[in-house]
Amino acid sequence: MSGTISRRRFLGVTGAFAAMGLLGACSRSPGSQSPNAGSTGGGASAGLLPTYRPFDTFPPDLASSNPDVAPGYFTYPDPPTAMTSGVPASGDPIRALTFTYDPVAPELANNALWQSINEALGTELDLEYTPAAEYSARFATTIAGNDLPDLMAIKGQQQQMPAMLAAKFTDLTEYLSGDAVLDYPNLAALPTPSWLSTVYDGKLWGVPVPRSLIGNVLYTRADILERAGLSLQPESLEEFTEMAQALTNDREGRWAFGQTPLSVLLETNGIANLWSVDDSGVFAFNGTLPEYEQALADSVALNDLGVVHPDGNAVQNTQRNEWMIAGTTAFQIGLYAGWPKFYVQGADIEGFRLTGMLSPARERGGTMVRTAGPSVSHFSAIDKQDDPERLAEILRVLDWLAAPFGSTEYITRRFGKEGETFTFDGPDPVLTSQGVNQATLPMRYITENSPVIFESRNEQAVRDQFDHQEAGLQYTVPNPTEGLYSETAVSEGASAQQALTATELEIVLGNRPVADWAAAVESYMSAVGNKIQAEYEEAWAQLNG
Amino acid sequence: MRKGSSPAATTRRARRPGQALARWRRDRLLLLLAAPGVLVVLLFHYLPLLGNVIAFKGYLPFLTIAESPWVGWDNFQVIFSGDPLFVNALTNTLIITLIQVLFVFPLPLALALLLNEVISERLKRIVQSVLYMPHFMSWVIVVALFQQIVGNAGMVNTLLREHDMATFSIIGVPELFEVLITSQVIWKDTGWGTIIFLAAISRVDTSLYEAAAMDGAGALRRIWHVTLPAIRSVFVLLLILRLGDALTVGFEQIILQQGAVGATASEVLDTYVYNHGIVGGNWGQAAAVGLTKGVISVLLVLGANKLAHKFGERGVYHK
Repeated sequence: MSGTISRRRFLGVTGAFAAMGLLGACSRSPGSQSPNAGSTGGGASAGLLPTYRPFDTFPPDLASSNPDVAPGYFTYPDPPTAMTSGVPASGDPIRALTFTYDPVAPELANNALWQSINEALGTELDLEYTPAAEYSARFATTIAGNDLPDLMAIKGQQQQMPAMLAAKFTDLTEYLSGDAVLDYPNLAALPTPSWLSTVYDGKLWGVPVPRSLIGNVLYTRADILERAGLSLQPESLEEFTEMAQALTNDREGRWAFGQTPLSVLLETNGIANLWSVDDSGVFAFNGTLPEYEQALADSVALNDLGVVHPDGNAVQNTQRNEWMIAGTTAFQIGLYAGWPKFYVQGADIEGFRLTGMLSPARERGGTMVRTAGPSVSHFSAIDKQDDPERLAEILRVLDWLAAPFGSTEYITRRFGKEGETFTFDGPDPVLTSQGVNQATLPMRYITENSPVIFESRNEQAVRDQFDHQEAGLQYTVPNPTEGLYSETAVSEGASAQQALTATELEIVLGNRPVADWAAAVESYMSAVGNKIQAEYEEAWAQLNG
Repeated sequence: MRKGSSPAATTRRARRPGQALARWRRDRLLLLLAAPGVLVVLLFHYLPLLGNVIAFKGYLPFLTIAESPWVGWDNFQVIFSGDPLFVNALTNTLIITLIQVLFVFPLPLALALLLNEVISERLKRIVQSVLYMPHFMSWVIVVALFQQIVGNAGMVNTLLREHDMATFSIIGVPELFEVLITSQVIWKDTGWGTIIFLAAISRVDTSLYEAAAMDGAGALRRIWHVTLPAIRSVFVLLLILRLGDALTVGFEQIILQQGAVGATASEVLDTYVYNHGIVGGNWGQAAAVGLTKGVISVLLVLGANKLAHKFGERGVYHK
């Protein structure tokens, strides 16, 4: 899953800054600037989103009262239960196009896992995929070539998004909106925020691939901190800084951080997300706030203390992962989805323990905040279908693919065929060496169940991840632009944002004074920011009546 | 005037078809052999040039090029409006170009002259192999190597730190960025660049050296009066070709190291096109900048070629 990080920027050079989200203006839905203005602009309120009906079939070992926290399982539910009946499809193959962060899986003829999925679906699921970094090019050429597969991954926001969706894909509102989704119970169990990403022009355009809202994690080598006698959760910026100094010894080649932790310092100063909104729907670009400038100043101060690896800002993010695993640094910043891979990388390290640290409030006892992670990886849309039977068939296949953790469908999808691609270790399915290769087939990037925490035979790992979600998600500030669409943000915004990020990087590196920030933000605002703000406000007003 | 010359032209034209056909027939095997290459050039070099039309369009990937609206010269605005980011990229490009043409370009010649003075063939072979090797490493490897050795936490600095000596920083210092990337280019490609010069030197008539030696010329004088004049045309040819891609100063090498120094020090035209065109989604603008760069490069080649003719050199092609 290392690619989850690298997708943020093609060459991953400035992963640290990319990770804070300035690059990918996250924003979705009912288009204020939409060219087909006659559409249901105002109908996007509560009634539109599918009814949420989670399962209680598989009680987890760790459960939270906060619905955003993913349930934790120490073992796979025993016995696994089938959540669908019969085969969802018959006859014509279904073509799907998506992307992957993993190596290419063996083709169908040599892939028992794929074959068993097809068998369970009752038809051939003809899956094509490209590396994630190349997907936008493949997407553009497929759309331009007008040879659309039945299912197509829509990754990020495209220019003229509402017009493109309306021109090429099926409006799924009448099949999935409100209680209609209950015909597809596994889809009804996908978390509500994830559906927002599929809403444009007040219509539902696809089925999401949901993700935890936990977003970015300050990964912490708990074993190193414990050996140094440090607390795993500092209470103030002062304590955080002292901790960083205690973890640094440049003569021995040890530093606290692999990159300047700007994303942490922003939260420390009370900044969450790129935009914020007040109760009356007035948006503000967080870069204009004095706290933002304070975070930049704190970053420079932290750099000056020498607690950041001296080559940290020059390397690729995979290198920073290696530094943390090797103990060269004690922290690393990355997306939550990358957490399980560190257990593989750290498997040989005596006492290896990974936890997530929350960004402390600036002053002891102050308010803590956390930037919301994206609620989805992307969503899958269905091309224009004339035959309602065929459409229902495709939706049933999506429903099958979204079957929850604990189901037999989940085992077939992720593990394949017992005895061939996986075996049971107690209740836990474990891939065989043959299965490991075949399981890179990115079925889960069409759609999948809502996130769970599960590490086979590693109770501590499940607890650490659960604890981090439990502790962190209560401070999460929802991203106010989620579910809103601004054409300016998607078209002209990207370039202006890029220029702003470049200035930010130079300030953090100490090449430019912090005082330059205000002018950079001002020129961003006058170039695109004010326009984006107006578009978000209009879209917000439509969504919230 | 035109009338006077036309009878001759007519006869020449009249003779041509038969002659051409005969030539085609005579050379058909050679033409057949050339066909795949010509096809590749047409398909992958000339055909994609048509894509440059998006410089004049508001191109959106989900529309086809034909469906995207025409916007005239709008995309070229960024070049002429003095956009500070563009000007910064242009300035950096020109500085790096100047450094590379003045200081890096002659180095392979100097190295080739040195190699030519090595008497032992065996030693020469070994030295050459070692010198060629870096050329085959990708930029990712070269950049990582430099980091591992002279990085702030690299081999040299770690050693210095362990012995309580003062450390130095080259990587991550904006003022030294040009020095850094120029040394990388020198390390990677100087050896490779000697090949053509060595080939040219090997074709110099050895009797000229003998005659010069007889006249009492030492090693340096032989180089100055025999070797250099003999390979002058090759030198000029390579210089013209180098000017052709003078504005291409290494996209991969630079984008890999941009994170360490930031854009002010490191943005060049190619990275500008990537960062603002591809990442920023301004496809038309990126194409406009790329197209302008191409036109300038062609003008540079033509100009340099003309200059070469003035000095009595053959240049890339004859008049």
